Amino acid sequence: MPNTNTLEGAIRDAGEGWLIDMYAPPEQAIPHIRRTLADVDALARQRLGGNAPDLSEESIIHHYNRFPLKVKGFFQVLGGTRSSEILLMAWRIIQGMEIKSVLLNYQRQESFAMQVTLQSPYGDDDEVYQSDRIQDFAVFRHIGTMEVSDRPVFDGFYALRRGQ
Amino acid sequence: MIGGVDIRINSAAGKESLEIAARAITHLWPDAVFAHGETGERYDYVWLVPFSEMDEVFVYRDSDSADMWFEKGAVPEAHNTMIHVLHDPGLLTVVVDERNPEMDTALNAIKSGLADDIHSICTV
Repeated sequence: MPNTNTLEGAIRDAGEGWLIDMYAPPEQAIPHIRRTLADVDALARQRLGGNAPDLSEESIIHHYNRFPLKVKGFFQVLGGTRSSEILLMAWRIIQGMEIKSVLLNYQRQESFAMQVTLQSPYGDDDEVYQSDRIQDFAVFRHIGTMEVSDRPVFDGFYALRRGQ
Repeated sequence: MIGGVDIRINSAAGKESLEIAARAITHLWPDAVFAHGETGERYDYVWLVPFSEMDEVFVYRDSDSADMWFEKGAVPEAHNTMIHVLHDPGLLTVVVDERNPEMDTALNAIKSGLADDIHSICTV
């Protein structure tokens, strides 16, 4: 299991160092990621109040050391979206929220709209996440699918593998 | 579980095979609890299980079933209340006491989850 104590260490250990190296200039990558996480953390507190997850840098590192594949997937989404709402949604799914429904409306070269409703396994209120940015659709690359008694289920949040 | 039936399923999902299987089983057993295959540590929810650090996981139908297995072992009343899932490279093994419609529902859900190609395709 990993045992990192910095955000950059966790990102590189996860094999997602491109998040840093491809940023221009690279030395600004970690400050940028910190600002992004702070934005997501603020959104979580605003929307979820006392139920808000801890998205501090320390919490992300702690989770990485315990659940490296999950947080690797989160890092991948972090590199693909600028939407705090979708990043929060991804983190909530990692935390156990279940996808209750997905509404998608796309008109070529005209519009994109996605609405995802998450339900809590603890009986808390549903949470609704929306985006009109087509790049945010990429978050679904990380969602598992299965059929249970021939009925469809979105389930789980997984990291994509990097080519060898 | 003494004896039992081993069902071997090819998997490209690596260690995530265990999570896919555990999640599939929770749709059959919504109150399922889990135990670390090596340490025996118990978890009440699937997302709390550190699958990355284990090669096998025990999934119990509910907390009472887990208690029974921990306290009494493979007694007759524990029959088909636990599913043992093991990961080896390229392979997932699911062990049940006996194949029946309930276990087959779980197995089919596991197979459908493993078939999702997000677990086998690579990004560049």
